[in-house]
Amino acid sequence: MNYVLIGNSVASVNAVAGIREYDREGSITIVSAENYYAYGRPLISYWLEKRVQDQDMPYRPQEFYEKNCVRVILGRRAVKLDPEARQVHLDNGEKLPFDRLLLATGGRPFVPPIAGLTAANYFTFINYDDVRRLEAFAIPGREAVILGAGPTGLKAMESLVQRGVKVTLVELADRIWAPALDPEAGALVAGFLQDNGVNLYLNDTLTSIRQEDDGRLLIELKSGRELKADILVIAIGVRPNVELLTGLPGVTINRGVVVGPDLSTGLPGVYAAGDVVDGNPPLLPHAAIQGKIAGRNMAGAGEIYQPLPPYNALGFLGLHIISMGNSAATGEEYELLTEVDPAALVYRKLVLKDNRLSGALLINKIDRAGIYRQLLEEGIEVTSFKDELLRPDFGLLSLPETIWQQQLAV
Amino acid sequence: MKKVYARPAYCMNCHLCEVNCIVAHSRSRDLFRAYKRENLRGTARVIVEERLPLSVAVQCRHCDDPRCVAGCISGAMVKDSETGIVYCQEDKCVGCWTCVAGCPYGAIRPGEKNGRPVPLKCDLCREAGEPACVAGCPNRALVFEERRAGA
Amino acid sequence: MPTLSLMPPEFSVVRDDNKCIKCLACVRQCGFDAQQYDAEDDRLYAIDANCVNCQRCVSICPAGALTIYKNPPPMRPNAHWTEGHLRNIVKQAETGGVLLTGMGNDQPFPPYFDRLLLNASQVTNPSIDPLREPMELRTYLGSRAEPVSREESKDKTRTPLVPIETPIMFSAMSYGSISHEAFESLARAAKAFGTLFNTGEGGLPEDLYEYADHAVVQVASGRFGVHAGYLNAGRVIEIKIGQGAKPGIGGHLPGEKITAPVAETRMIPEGTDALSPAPHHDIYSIEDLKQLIFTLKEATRYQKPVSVKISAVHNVAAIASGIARAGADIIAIDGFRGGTGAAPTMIRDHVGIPIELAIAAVDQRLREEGIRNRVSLVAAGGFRSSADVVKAIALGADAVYIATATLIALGCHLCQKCYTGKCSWGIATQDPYRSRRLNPEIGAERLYNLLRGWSHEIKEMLGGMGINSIESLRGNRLHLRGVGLNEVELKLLGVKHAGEAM
Repeated sequence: MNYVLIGNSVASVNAVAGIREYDREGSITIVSAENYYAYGRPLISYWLEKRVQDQDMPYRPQEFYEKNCVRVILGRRAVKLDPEARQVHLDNGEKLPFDRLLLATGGRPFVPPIAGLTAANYFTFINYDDVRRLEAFAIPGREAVILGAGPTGLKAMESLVQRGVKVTLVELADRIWAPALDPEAGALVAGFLQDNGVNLYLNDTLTSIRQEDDGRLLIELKSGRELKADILVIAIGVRPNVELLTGLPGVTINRGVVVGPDLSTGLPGVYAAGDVVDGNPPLLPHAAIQGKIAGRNMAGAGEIYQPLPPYNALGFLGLHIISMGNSAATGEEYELLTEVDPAALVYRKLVLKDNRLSGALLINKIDRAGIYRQLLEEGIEVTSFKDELLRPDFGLLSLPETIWQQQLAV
Repeated sequence: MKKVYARPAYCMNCHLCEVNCIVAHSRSRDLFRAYKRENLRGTARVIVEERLPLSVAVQCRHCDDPRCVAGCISGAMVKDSETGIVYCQEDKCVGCWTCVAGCPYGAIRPGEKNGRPVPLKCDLCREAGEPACVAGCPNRALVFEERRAGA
Repeated sequence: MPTLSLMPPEFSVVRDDNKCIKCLACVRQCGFDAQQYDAEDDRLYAIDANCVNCQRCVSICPAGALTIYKNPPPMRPNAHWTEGHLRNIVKQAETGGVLLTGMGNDQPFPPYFDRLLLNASQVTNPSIDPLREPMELRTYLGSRAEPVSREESKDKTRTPLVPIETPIMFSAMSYGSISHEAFESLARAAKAFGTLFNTGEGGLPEDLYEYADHAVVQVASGRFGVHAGYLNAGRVIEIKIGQGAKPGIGGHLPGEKITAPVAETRMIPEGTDALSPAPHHDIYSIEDLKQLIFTLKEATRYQKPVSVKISAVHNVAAIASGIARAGADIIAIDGFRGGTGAAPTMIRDHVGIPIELAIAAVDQRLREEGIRNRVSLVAAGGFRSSADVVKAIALGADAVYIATATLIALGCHLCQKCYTGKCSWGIATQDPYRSRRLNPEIGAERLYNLLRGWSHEIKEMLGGMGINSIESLRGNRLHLRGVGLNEVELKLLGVKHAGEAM
């Protein structure tokens, strides 16, 4: 069996592990557009801060590839998929035959049209090369403007602040990380950022950029405000890299590639995992889990991927946030349980719907968070232990005995 | 695989599993140094939950498909393919705590050691043989055994 | 309680802060709220007045940071007005109540076992090495036929003999007075070793019937938990007349200890006091006793030997003779050191006689009357070692009951607070938070070890005397010598003084 994996991030690496659970023999080839062995994308901000060094970037050690007999082709882009010949064409003309193919091409940053924006005067913040380029610019005393106060923008903010760069965040929504934080939490985090010297402009966006004679950027905002900056980072989201499958028979592409429950695309033997998959939250755990299952299925396992609600852990400047599901939800149909201690920057909120956990947001008090995630994913009714949920000693024993007995017996 | 199983009927809430865990994961492996010099109080990788008279020691179940490993952004958290032990290569951890959000048992706590983040989770004392919590449990409320065939 | 305490605490809890790691195990384990933690100040401290010196905290402390000291006497030393008397007077002045206590008599009466020494073989008779030669510790309890005949007995009222693999049984401790965990430990160990445990007067919990074949099932004045299934399940039935710790008085298990499972086992309502009358109200004479003995035998189709347990009191020999004639197969005699879960202090410490003298007197009396073969004699009350066991058998016992020793093996530190139900060691309590500290697996192993050790020592002592069977030692007083005993004592014990030849 010939396995070809396009893309070289956590989905691919986990697919290798998944394949090898069932097939020790088949040949596996990974095609990577980047020049690096797989690394966790979120590590780039830590690299920029120098909390992670080059040698600690790889997601798996070199032995992983040797042990699993994986050929890795670095710095090559797959440009065409020929479903008839069952071949992938690389940008150097090489043609890789495959029996099973995984599309794990991820996404690329979405860059909106802004007057004056050129490839040279902005940065994206998604891969290793982005931060390698940014490193030379990010020196103490400089000023940066980051468009987008979502997880990517916030991590970019953190690493720049740690490098001594003065940061301004510009966010179109009325609060930071609007999909995850409700207004109260957003305000709490905004206050924290401001206390850490970060400027924040909400309900605003960039309208034009101009390079001044001194080499600095003059950035004009929709509100009319003008900002001077040395660095501009665009971090407002990603778009799935679906080009390889576009227009092929049997494949449906919405925002991403539409997959069946077994993660197969419409093309025989072709699977997809990670950020390229339609409807999948662009989060690392989800990519890893999909990759593993896709790998198993490519080797014949027939496992179903149950779509997982989003969950995410995000830390910056010492603040830790875990969000899951409908964490920002407000409204009549939801019951909210909250614990707020602004002085300690603690905010804990559970969102219930029909007596089941629909979302959770935990700031700075995140112990046992995974139990909430489990309750949420399993759709467990919490009526009988609702008053336990936010107790400081919430834990497995808060759950009905049948559940914790079962959990401890695993 | 062999795992630590709790027997709540015999857990007497002494929390000595936590103490033994802390010592086993200290630099000095010495009770007094661990607590008084390394200041490791509160860093146990096993959590004794209390709903008296019931109490039970909760720790990593070393899942077949561990969420903590799937969610680890740095590749620090791994499952050893031979032993099945899920453990963190601590010098690779960056402290994002996705593992904390992932663990269905709440068995990973965010921790810190020498200014570096450390996920506080059971590694079955993989370098020692028998886990310290089991060896030191005065009432055999924790046992280290194989329960599922082939697991 | 008075505002001013007239007595300083009996004990001081001393914590070595250099060692203490503040793990709080002591606070969690103290059954008497003596160990305290102030979370706000992160400070551990002790309320000395609450400490009963049960040593649980000392044992559990992983740092070895705790020591409990006995405080000096609260007044100028006085050989007559001892500290115990003073504390009792003060307590009663405060409460007006009867003094209560637990475990056995702790007063310095002469211990006769310590004045008796065993013989050994030298030159003229060979000693036996139990590791190389057979050595029989099995003994049979029950009534022996008379006269011995080759033909099968026609007597359908004869009950079978019950073998035990070592002459040591576990004495009566009821479920209710001790925890299910402690009870189960005893049952498991008895079964594993091939001896018997005794249910005490509280019945046998449903889930422990698998051990019933190794149970002496008791029928006491309260008749708690007695039903046909119970009697037929046991190996031996015991009518409890008296208990060494409290001869002549009944029992009282407070309602707090009558939890749902205890109530079910005892067949009484949950939470009600379990009162055992002082006498059996259907037994006012030997003839009445005979009726009960045969009622029980009838109920079990003469398949169960019946034992009658009495306290060692002044007239014990005559009473034992009557019991033997009433048809009992076993007589158990509980000496004045016998333990209890709760007894009035004055009764425990001042009523009854030493087991050594009682055994000697009863054995002698039954021999003189020619009825020794009709009963097995079981001695109880304060057996501390295998040497005590050997001496009791040489004085005339067939076997012994041990109880306090078993509890010590399970963790008891003789704090004598059994009656409070707060036992830190999970033994004398029905509080699940405390009782779960005693894992019956571990408890059974410890008890098995105790039996194993003692049995091995008994074999060594027998071998030294040149005896290869425990039954050959029974009543063999020539193997005993007294030291420092007066002539009356020697005569009563039926032993010669050390230095006297055969």
